[in-house]
Amino acid sequence: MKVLALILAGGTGTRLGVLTETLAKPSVYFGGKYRIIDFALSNCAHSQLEGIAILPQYRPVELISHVAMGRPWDFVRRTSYFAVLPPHKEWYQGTADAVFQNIEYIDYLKPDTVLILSADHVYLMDYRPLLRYMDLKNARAVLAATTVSWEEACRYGTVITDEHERVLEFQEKPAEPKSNLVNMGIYAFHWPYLRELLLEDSIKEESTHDFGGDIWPRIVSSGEPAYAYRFDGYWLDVGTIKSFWEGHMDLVAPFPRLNLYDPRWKIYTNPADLPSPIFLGPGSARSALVSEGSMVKGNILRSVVGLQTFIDDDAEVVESVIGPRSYVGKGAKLYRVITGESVYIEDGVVIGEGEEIPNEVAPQIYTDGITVIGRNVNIVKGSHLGKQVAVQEGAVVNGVYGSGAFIYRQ
Amino acid sequence: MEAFGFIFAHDWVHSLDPLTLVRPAASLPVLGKYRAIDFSLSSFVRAGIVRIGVSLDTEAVSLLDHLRIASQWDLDKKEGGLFILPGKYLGTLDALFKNTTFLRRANEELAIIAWGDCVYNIDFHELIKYHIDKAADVTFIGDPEEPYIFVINKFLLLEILFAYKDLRDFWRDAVASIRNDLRIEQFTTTIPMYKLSDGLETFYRLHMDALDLDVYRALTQNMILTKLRDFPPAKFSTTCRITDSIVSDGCIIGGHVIHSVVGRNSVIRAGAYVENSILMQDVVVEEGARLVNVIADRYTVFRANREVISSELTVIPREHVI
Repeated sequence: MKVLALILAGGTGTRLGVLTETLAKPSVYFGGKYRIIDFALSNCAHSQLEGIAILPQYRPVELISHVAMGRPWDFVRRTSYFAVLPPHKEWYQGTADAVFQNIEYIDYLKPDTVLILSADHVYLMDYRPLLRYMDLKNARAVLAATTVSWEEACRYGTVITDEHERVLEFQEKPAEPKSNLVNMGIYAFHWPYLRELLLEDSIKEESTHDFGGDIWPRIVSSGEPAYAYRFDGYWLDVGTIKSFWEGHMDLVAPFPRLNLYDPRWKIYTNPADLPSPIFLGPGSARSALVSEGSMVKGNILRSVVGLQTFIDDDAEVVESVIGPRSYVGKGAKLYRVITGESVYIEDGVVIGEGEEIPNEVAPQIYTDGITVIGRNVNIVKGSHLGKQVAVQEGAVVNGVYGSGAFIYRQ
Repeated sequence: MEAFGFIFAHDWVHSLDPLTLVRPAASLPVLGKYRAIDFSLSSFVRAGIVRIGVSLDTEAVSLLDHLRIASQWDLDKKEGGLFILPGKYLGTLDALFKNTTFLRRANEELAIIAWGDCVYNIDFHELIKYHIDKAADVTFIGDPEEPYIFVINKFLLLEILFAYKDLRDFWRDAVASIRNDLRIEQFTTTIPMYKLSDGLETFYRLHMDALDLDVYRALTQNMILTKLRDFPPAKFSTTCRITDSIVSDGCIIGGHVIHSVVGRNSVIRAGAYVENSILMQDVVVEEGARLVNVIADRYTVFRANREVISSELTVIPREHVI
């Protein structure tokens, strides 16, 4: 086999707060009908890769059922390999350990090149130019890098390169970044070379067994000529509530930077087979995405509505992301709200009004005035929730909660 | 009792021309994302009937393309599955008689025979139960002269086919001639049903009826399966206005859409106006164009500021640019 793609899908996504309480980050719904992992999987399909393996860890059940043996991405072919490889010996210690623990499987397929991908990113990318670039540079290791704003750079691994794009220095989440070129978590390795690195890393006691934290610094310090491949398309690390929300606001913009409507690069997902959305009465949808199976009677503005969701009479949904199979009751008002799936918001509920007060439990997670509601929450008639409120999965909310409240499940 | 299915989709009537110039009625696009045949196919599959033969005209490219990937209906099976039975059939009796191999090989005892141009969403379990409870030879739904669906014992079906193989129509000729010897029962139901080959009026009425939530739910609940095109959710821009309409996935809407059905992957640009109309898939309505009472077939384009307004229905043929 020429190329085997390994998609790391073990992320707990703790910075997505109540959205990932019982759901792995790659399984979180994005863009109404998709899940985050659909982007990496669709990129693999369009890049015509013949070997794909997903390495889940945290909460794998929904993820495994969603990827459905790779069928929606057309991976079920006689000439291709698709596998889901959850930990079978012990818990994966880090991204590199996840690959290390599956050496047997990789050896069995004998790939020339192993492509390491993350299931947590929203982007459209053809991996073939990256693989050609690796050949061209005659390199054993290549990483994909993109530029972000200087303020954001400290969230990532930053990369310093010379004029030939050779990686000179690698800093993981630096407090004072020297570069705004960041590691996208996409690596191509010559398999025998990576195998050697993994074996060496596995016996190091001080190692966290992580690609960004251990393997790459080791490559750079060993003097190995490794190169950065620059990607300048849209790339979103859905790491935080803020980036999750911004990603959706990007989609409803007049000319979105992420083009879901490109017929040559469709995003495939496990289909839900639902009828087209229906709009009834005087309601409206403006700057909005509305998914299949939904019914809209109320008003939607700058928002994304998931599958099979019902927005009832006179409801007002503004700058919000409504998860699938949800209900927004008559006259309910939602401002900057993100909900998980199957959320039931009764008539007259108001969410997201008030002052911006830091969240009482996790002020670093619930920011930018966004209120986040976990899956299967029921918000009872007449309830009132402020800004930056978080509601735990399965909670029944009844009453008035000011901004910054954290509402626990009973 | 177990059943297999047979769908007549070979009949190429021209009662909806120009829509039926390029496709048989069973392949007519309906409700934005489906084809007429999806409704009978899905009703079969949901009732666990997974051996289904479809008779179709050898030139029905549109239908062949639609049915190409049987897995979309969960019919890519080792035992049973979807059997495409192309031919130049003279009538329904001919379509069954020429496929006696398919009928014989079916292990199931009952045959449910449906017309592919009928749009309905039915629970076939109820029909089978009724057929057995009444100890009927034949149970049908719809017009006694021209039913939408009927159930018959497989061996009785084969006997009739061989005995009357020179006749043309299975129901009107063969069954009619032995009507008094058979126990024929009618199954009545209140679910909405539309036989599209009846004409444009029925096709239009189906779509306008579906803009009522109860009818839409009755027609689409419990999953109607179709060929998927993997489009993103419909997008609505700042300038749009949508009232009492169905808008499918992949659409980008900037104009006004009133009491209309818009098919997948269509674009209605800012300032355009669409009322009481049916747009099939891949239609473009440019800035300022105005459409009232229009049925636009696939790939039609309405150039900026063009008007197609009439109190009568206007049908725009496939790929036409107005």
